[in-house]
Amino acid sequence: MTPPAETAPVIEEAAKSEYKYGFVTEIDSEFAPKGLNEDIVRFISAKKEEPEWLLEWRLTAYRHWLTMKEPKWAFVDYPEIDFQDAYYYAAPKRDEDKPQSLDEVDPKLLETYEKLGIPLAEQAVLAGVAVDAVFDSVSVATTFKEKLTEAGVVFCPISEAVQTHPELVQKYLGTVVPYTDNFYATLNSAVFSDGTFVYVPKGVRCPMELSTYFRINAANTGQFERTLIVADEGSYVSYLEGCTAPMRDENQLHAAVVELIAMEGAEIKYSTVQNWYPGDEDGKGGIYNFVTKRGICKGANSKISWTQVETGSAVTWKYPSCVLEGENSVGEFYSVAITNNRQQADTGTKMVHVGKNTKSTIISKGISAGKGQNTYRGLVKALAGAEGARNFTQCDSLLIGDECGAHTVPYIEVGNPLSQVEHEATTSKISEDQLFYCQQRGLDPEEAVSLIVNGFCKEVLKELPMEFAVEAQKLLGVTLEGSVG
Amino acid sequence: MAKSDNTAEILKSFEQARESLPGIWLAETRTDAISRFGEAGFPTPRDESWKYTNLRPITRSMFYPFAAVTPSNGAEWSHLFVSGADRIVIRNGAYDANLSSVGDLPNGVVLRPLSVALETGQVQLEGALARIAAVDDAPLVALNTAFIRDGLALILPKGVKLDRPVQVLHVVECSEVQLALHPRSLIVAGDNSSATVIETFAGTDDAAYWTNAVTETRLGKNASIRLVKRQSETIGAYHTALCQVSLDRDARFFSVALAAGAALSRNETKVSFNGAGADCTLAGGALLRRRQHADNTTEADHRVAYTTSNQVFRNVLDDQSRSVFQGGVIVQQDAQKTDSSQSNRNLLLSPGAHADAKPELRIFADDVKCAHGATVGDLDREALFYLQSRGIPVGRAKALLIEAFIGEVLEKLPEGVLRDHVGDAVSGWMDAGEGA
Repeated sequence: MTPPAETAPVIEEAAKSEYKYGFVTEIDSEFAPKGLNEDIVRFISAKKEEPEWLLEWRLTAYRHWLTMKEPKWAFVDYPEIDFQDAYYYAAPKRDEDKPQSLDEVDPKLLETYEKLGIPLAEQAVLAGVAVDAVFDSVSVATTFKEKLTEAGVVFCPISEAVQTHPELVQKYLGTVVPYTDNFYATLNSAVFSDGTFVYVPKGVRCPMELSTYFRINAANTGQFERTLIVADEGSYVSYLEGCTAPMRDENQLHAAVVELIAMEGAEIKYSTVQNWYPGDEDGKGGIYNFVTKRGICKGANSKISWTQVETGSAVTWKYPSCVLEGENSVGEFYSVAITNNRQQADTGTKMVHVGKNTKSTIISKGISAGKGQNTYRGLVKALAGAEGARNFTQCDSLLIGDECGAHTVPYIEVGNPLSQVEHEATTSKISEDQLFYCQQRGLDPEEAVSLIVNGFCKEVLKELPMEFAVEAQKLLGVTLEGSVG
Repeated sequence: MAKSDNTAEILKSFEQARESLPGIWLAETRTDAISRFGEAGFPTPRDESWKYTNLRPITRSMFYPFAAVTPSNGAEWSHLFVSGADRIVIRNGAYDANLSSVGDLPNGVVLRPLSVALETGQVQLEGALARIAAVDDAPLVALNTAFIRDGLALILPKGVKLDRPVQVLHVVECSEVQLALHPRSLIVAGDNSSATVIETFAGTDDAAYWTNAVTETRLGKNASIRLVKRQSETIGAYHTALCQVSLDRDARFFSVALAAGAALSRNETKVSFNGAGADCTLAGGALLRRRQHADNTTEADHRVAYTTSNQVFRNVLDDQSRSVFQGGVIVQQDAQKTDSSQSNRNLLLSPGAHADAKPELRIFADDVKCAHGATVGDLDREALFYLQSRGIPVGRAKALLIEAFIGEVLEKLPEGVLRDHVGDAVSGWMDAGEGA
């Protein structure tokens, strides 16, 4: 069916929307030689001055990776990746004397953030957010450190944590996502460049939202973040992750691993806004986003909550998961995924109920426009011992334009009669009545669609922390304006 | 691929049976099909559509393709006869004329055992038989196609409406060896025609066998077919079945399939919508106990605009049984205005029971309405409490709730012989549970 005349131009524009944050900052990067072999793994490890055990771990992972095959089951289609044709390490120069405060940060970098609309200094002051900004692979600025130190919270680049808190890193690294987990997680284990480490001690409520901005900058650089967040008994932490990337012609691989560990009574809230370069309207360029995110509710009454707003990347392959081990533990997953032009997203979650009376909620909103393909793929599993487990899943898809696709593939595996699992899904397009009503009230078609889509996503957006919600809504608007209409 | 299974024996048994199979004109199709099966082998859980059902019990067993039938007066099976229906009985994989009975039929209607139709009605079968169900990526269909021997051939000319239902009763009475049976049915409904077909599968208590059935159904414009399936195989049996349906404009396909038998069963229904206004309802479920495994897999492939599908599946699981529901809805790019719904609910009655569900939507068109829902849980405690508070003993109260649960499938059938026939399987299952 052809769209109504008044929305046609809006949808047409979908294909034309250009990536607003496309620019490249010219900073000399220090590259590891192209390709991947044991020497590169050793090179990265040496660069980071890592202890022996970590190098060994990387090498074990690398050797295991050689035996693995790239997974093909996801509903995405992309050209074969040549893993030997990429750089696995890049760091902005002057690595040795990292800036200690914002004043010392390369003005060019600050300018980059300026362009992104994330003025670091301003945001830090205004929003009270500590920002650990990752530029390419090495952290360049960390603020609000003192306040966190006072509370006993460790919040630093993981490379630094390896030096300062080796016992913690060694104890938890790879315990949620083992190096054998999957093709990309194993690759990450071998070559991870940097990332964030957070440790919240017993009973501490982290005094502020923790945030990291990831950004891919140097061409041809795979970026392999490794994030590890440990919330000890009775603690609370909210972590925000946001990404934008400059316009690129060549595909860039991103394979991050995020591990969350919540001890008894602890709560971790992990929010993501992802807006990497999605490629141009023909699908040229764009980031490949193959991410493994998993949290484990180890102790009783613990809680892990994932919230994600996925608007970027050419190909997304991402399933933030919760293993609910502790009794009465809670897992949550709130997701908005938008695919436009030729973007493809295969995303969802896994909720594995192990302990008694564990609960999980899944709310997934998929929006497809242009030629985008959007797949929700999720697993809800209640093991035999998970008495009283409870899950509620709702997946809604919204289709804009007649060339896109929305797919729902839920896997439900229940081995316990005392558990209750519910799954609901709907697929629809924006109703013409709604559009007509909005326009009749004086909104132009573009605003109307944006309004309706924002309403469609409301359940998820309201889960985002305040600071992020504003940006996410803006981002949704940006993606939709000219993109979806 | 591991060749530790019985593929080689099956290929060998085909060579031995080849000569005795009916319909010379089908020889080439058979050869093609068996080679497809030989290449592909049995599906394994590595195949996405067989993720939850492992055919290992079948692939590790030795099967014989045929056994002689001794005459029978049919007393043993009369309780499965649907009264007032035209009946074709297939015993141990071959047509039994004594037990069958077909009354007067309107002009031009073909209602015969397939073995007879193969020998005499080539013209009518060509273009339909082995043309509706593809053998690509379907090794079990390929295997069935190679071994086509008997089943139902029902061909309705334009505008003919059959008043009486047609029953195909498959029974197995062989306990000496394990038989592999490949019943094949063909239903071709011309424009504006309509009929009701009942497929019943059963066996004598001690028989262990494998039924691998394929039913091909093609509906012309505005045709209507109601297909009722009762699977009451023995507890030692394996049952795999595919029903492939092709719908033309305004055609209506309605099916109810209930499984209470077999150690391992898989019932797959695939419907392709090839004309606007086509509509299908797929209802079904399984009643399981001990270590039974039942898989209901569906695929509604909406290829054209203005089509509707509705799926309702209910499973009741006791002991260590396991149910699988894989519901597929595909909406192709041209299939605007598709309206599709899917509902799967599973009732777990015992700590060892396990339910897997994968209700899948693949949608490539924007102006569509698709919804699906799946739930797994045990009996509603408040409802149970309420019934008990009204003086109903707990056992009876549970039975009432289970009956109501599976009743959502049964009520799709009109009251009378059809609902009774399937309902008998339900009450049989309930009674067996009370004894245990």
